[in-house]
Amino acid sequence: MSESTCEAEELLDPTQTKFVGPPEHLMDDSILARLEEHLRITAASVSTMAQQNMEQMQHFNALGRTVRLVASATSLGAFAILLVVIYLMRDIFALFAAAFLIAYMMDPVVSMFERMGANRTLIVTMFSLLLLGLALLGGLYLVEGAVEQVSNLIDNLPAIGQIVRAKLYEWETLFKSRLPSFQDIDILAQIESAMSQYGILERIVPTAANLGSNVVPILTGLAIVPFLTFFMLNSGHRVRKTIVEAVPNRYFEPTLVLMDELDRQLGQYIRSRVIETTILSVLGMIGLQLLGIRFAVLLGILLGLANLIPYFGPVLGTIPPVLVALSGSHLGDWGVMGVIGLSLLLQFVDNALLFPLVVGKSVDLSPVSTIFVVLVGSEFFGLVGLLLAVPIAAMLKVVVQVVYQEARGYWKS
Amino acid sequence: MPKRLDGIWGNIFRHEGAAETEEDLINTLQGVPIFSELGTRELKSILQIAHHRHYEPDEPIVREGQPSAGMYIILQGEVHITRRSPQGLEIDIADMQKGDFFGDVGLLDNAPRTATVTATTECKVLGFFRPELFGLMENDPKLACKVLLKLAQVVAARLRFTDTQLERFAEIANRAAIEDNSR
Repeated sequence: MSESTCEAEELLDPTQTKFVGPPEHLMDDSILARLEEHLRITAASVSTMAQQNMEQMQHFNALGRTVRLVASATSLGAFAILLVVIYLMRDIFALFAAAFLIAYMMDPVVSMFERMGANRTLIVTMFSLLLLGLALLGGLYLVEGAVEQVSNLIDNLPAIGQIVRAKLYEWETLFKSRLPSFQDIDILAQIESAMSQYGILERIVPTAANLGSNVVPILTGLAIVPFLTFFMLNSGHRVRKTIVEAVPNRYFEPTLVLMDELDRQLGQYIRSRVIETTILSVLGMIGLQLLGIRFAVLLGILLGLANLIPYFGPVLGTIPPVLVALSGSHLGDWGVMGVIGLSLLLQFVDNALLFPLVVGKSVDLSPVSTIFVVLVGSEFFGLVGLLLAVPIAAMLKVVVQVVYQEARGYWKS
Repeated sequence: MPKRLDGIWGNIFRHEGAAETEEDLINTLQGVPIFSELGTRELKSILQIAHHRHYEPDEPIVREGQPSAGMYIILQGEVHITRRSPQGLEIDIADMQKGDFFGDVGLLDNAPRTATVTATTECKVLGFFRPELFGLMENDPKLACKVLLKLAQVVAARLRFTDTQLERFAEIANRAAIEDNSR
């Protein structure tokens, strides 16, 4: 090793705490010129390398953008195809959805027994047999009762229409005698014209009649659902794990987070809405029975179910019992007031007690979004769409939130 | 070019080769501080809910900046940890191998990952995630408490270590300031 190299290394030695400056003979002009030349060559080669790197980076970025674009378009296409398939197979999908819903609601109960030391398969088998028995016996009884009530209702519809018309005419006369300025307006004719314009009766009668002709598919569904529930409940955890294991490494953590968020936000919502609807239906049935309204069981269930539809639900649910009350109850005209009062009371019980205690703030959608999704749901899937619009919209909201969060992290990284 | 199996079909039909025995897995788990005081039955419960993942060389396991979901324990292979400086330079942090673990603070919240972990060889890891920890809280609260207590102890130990480091840095800075003043 030459003397000058040795001294130069000393200069660069990181253990040197003080900068002592170069020795005198290193200040020679020729050495400085050589050093300068070396530095110039190094700087030029670093600059060329940096430029090459920059070009390569730009090339890779462009390639990456194209790949991401193709991947996004493929994902969107796949999602659209999935939606179409769900729409085309909606009857089969409904059976699976019902089984999933029951399995999902019962899972905490089964897990509780399992924690107490019981065998999961045994508990699930017992529960499924119980469900099958209840579905077949109760289903037969309920379907028979409901079909009877629906056919009675259809038979009685013209008579009810006549009674309602007479009652409305009576009220119109009374109203006009008290407020003479409304003498020239034919309120009854306007109501009738609106009903015929929107074909309300023409829609109600076939829908109600269809219920009767759908008894066999309903019973088949009632028999299949417990079997599906058994398999879903028994292998629920394994199915979840298998799904997660099939997810590519790149999307593994986001999928896990997504499934957890969906489970947390929607699980509580679905369970609580079922409890809420059951309580309201039972209260509705009792209330209508006490008011002496006919078809109390059917109308009570309808009142509870209608509550699932945000905003319009309670009003829609109150119309059928009001119409039946108009056709006759042992309380006379007070029957109608009684039904409206019952509906308001149920709303009070729901808003003041059930919703805050049972449902809480599990799904956070703004009122405008809620109305929008309910209208879109009813337009594409009818009654099912009306009922499922809010939970599905909430599910999509969670998916979008998680995907956005992941995408943000991905772009940052 | 490393062989990539990062797809649904690849994951379904992946040939795992010789799988670790349950005893091996339990031994590995016992080496992880948050599971170190659990009995064999409890460790078996953890194994049931943990996820086995397989990574090819150069494949990232976690990426800096992405939301955390939980921790990983290395069952086989080696990983390299890096993080990006504010200037955009990649800084090497550490290398890890069988029995080591990372991402345990991700069990507590979904804060963004602070580093990128990349497999340097073919790697098998065991993942234990927040949803599983929450599930454990509901299904086996006693076991979940033990895990959480150990996790809290690990975090407390790290906090104490950070405090000590900060004290040392403060001391060095003070000494330098005094020296500058006396000059």
